[in-house]
Amino acid sequence: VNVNPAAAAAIRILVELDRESELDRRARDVASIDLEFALVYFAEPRGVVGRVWPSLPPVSRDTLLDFLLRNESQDTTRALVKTWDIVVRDLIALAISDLDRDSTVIAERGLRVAAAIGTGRPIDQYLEYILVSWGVTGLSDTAGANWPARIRPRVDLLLALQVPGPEEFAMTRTRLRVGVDNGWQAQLVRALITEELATGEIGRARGWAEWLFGSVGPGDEKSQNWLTALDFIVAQRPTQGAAASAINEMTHADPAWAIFLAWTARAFERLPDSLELLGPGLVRFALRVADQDARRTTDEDARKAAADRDALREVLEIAFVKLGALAGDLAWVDGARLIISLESRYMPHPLNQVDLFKQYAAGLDGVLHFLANFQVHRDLIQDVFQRYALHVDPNADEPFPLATVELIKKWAPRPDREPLLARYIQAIGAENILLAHNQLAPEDWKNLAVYVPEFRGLESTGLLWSAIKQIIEGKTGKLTRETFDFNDESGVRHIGVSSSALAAALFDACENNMSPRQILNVISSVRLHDAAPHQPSDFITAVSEDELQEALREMQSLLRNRPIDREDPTGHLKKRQYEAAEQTWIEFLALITSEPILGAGYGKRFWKAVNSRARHGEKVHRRLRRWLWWRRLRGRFSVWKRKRAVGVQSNAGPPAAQGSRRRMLGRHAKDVNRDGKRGAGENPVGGDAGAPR
Amino acid sequence: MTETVSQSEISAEWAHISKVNGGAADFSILAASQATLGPQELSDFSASFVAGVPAPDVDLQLPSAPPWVTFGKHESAGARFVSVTVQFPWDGVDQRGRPIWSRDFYVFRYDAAARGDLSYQSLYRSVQGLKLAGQGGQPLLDGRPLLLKADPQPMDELATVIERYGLERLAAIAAALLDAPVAVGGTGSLWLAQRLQLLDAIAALLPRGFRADLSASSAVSGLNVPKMRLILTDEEDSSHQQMHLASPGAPLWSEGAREYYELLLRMAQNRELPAVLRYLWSHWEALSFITREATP
Repeated sequence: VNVNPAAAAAIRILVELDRESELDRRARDVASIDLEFALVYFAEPRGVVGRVWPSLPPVSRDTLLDFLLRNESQDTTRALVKTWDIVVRDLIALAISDLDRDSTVIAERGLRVAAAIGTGRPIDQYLEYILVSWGVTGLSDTAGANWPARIRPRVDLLLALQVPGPEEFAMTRTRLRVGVDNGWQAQLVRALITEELATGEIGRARGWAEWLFGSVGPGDEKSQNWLTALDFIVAQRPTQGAAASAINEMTHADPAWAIFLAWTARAFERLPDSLELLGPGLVRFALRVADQDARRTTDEDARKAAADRDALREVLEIAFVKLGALAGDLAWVDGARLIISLESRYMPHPLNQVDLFKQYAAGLDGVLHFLANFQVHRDLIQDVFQRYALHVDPNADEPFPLATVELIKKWAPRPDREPLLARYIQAIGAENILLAHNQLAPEDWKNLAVYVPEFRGLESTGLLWSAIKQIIEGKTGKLTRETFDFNDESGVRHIGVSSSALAAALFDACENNMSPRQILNVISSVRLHDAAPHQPSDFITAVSEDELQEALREMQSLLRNRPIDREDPTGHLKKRQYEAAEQTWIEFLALITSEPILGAGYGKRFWKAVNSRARHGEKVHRRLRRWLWWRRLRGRFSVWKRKRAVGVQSNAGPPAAQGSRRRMLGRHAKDVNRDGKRGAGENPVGGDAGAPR
Repeated sequence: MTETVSQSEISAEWAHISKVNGGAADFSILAASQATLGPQELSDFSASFVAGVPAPDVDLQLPSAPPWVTFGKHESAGARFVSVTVQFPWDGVDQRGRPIWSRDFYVFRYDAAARGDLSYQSLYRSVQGLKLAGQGGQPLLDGRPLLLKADPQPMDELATVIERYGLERLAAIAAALLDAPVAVGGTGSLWLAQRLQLLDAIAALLPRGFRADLSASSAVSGLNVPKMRLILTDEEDSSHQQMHLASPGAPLWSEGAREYYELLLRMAQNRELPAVLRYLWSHWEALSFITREATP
């Protein structure tokens, strides 16, 4: 029949509706669908399939697709390739559903069909959707709980894929680079690269990382921390500061990132540069492991804890030194090791590896600071390091290495380090070594004494030590004193004499409650190991017995005249202070002369000096008495003269008596001048004239 | 069943055809877009399907009074276009005192309109209320194409309209269109919205691809012979097969048109009308009537 072409076209379309209806009817009968029907269905023209497909119920679409996907043949592949753009949404949904059942069969088959289309775009689109889409990640906040289980099969799928080149699958790459730090994409990428590394596929891991973070620049996506960190490790793109901040934030949110980043850095031979940034993360992860160990209550907890511990241990077993890690950064590794009860491994020797030790100590300081809120772990790490750095060999009289002493000096003033350090020093008796070798300054002892009261004397010990040492070295005059005379701000005049260095040291030591015996012990132990042959090397060669006696007398004076801070109307307190000063002074004399603290010879000579001084005093006393006798005699003579002038008219005294007086006064004046500082009224043995007795 | 509709955006080139108020010149383009279509093409397109001007004494209160809406079909450089022309009530007079019947012309790519599932009603609604030029004909817009928002056509709504007029009556008209241009009478009492519904309902009974070749008008002037394939008018002309909305009578169908009519009724009988309409709507690839146009 000669039908007009427009009508013919319209009729043809309407007739197709009949056929499509039949297709539609059969496809809705899910039970009757088999592979044969699926092939018949997809053998229809694309237009027919395209029109019927959207109206089919999902179960029919899934069943039809399932037959084609699970029966791989040329026919089924051809059918799927022909209708790819029509069925791809359903195919993706099916693949996602299959993956979520921990199977990669459909997903892999879909990939092969996409590959058969011949261009990269279908694979890209397909991958993008089965890896990252709302259908995959879920919209619910609680969906994240299932992510690890859902990520695993997707990682398996990617493990079976050839690693894409830098320009391949741009859409998938872009989608994978989007998302927050602990979002789906971040976790998926982390799991993928971790898995590749775990199976020894370093090359593939590098390939994935280069694809995601390599030469191709980032898109317009918001810069997330995990991208910043990986861009830094893989492509050294952002600055270290930006990367440090990013890594810090992401490991704070999830310490497991540190493990992943460490392996990635190792794979990319960037561990030396990255360990400084990763250290806090490793310590964080170690804290988590320790916490899990402490808290685990169920088998699942225990398994997770064990898995985390193993993962961390593997990282901590990396040959960091061989890879070029710096000593300061290795402190973080040791910190993490100690937290999970592994032995520290990288502490350098303070004597043989001085520079490394210092770097390590600086790094460790960072670790300890980082652990400020984790006192147990912080103390543990400090304790281990102290034990290592302050090792005492009872058989050797060796000083501590300078690096160790520097560490002590650095930590002593810090409230967060000092208590543990001071107690440890006390526990091992290290103060004796430090004192014996005068390795700490008085302020160090003062700092250490804040938490260990027993060290309080050692502060003055140090002072005394320094003073004695300087005296031996001749840096300060032993007994030099100077008169001062000045008006203070309020116009009050002050006149006095400064104390000598030796007397001041003795006075300070007494003031700091050191006993005379302790003081003499310190004095006797000061040795100059590097003194020149003609120079004194110890106290007894540097300070004569007379000089010591003089200093002790000065010390006594200083002790006696200390200001009293209370009302003392009766002078009772002052009297007691005088007595105490004298008692101390006598104790010094007794110890020096009766015990060989400063050496037996020195003691004897000192005794002689004391006696000599005493005899001299007696001599002076005798002269005084004689002078007083002459004075009284003169008085009587004057009376006699007056009486005689009245009665006998004579005004001259006996000439012999006048001459004797002049001689006596002249000798006394000479004695005073020779003694210099001693006043005429001074007690020749000690003490001030006129002092209450 | 509730249909999901989503608004789409569609680009339109445009022209305003009128006379200068009090001027001597004839109708011409006073303002137009300057985009992919050149001035000549735009001029040709806008002059292709014209409803004509109403009689000077037309009662503007009648349902058949302007605005009149005409849908055209065009081709340029292998691309297909559809157009909407809105003929407004007169406004002002020319030098000789004749009323000025301005019209606005919009042209769209057929593919874009088809992908947006746009019907005649959708297209008209997308331009309804726009004003391209001022009273004196001065352009109110720059020369860029307009980006219009348009709603897709719900099929259920079309099915309702078809059932209101009667499937058989409208199917007869649709089948007749396969043969030749048709003028549908008995529409004088219909307001513009109803006319557009009717045009869409008739066109919906053909595969949608025929819209690429279908021209239609909600009304035409009796003063000239319109070129559109489907017009609503009670006036007879030699170029259109006259069919009445109330009783199409015995159409002068060809064999093919009759077969299509019968097949369509059978299909609609065997399944839901909306399903048939959706099916026909899904065939949007351009189709041609091939047979002659209405010849003015």
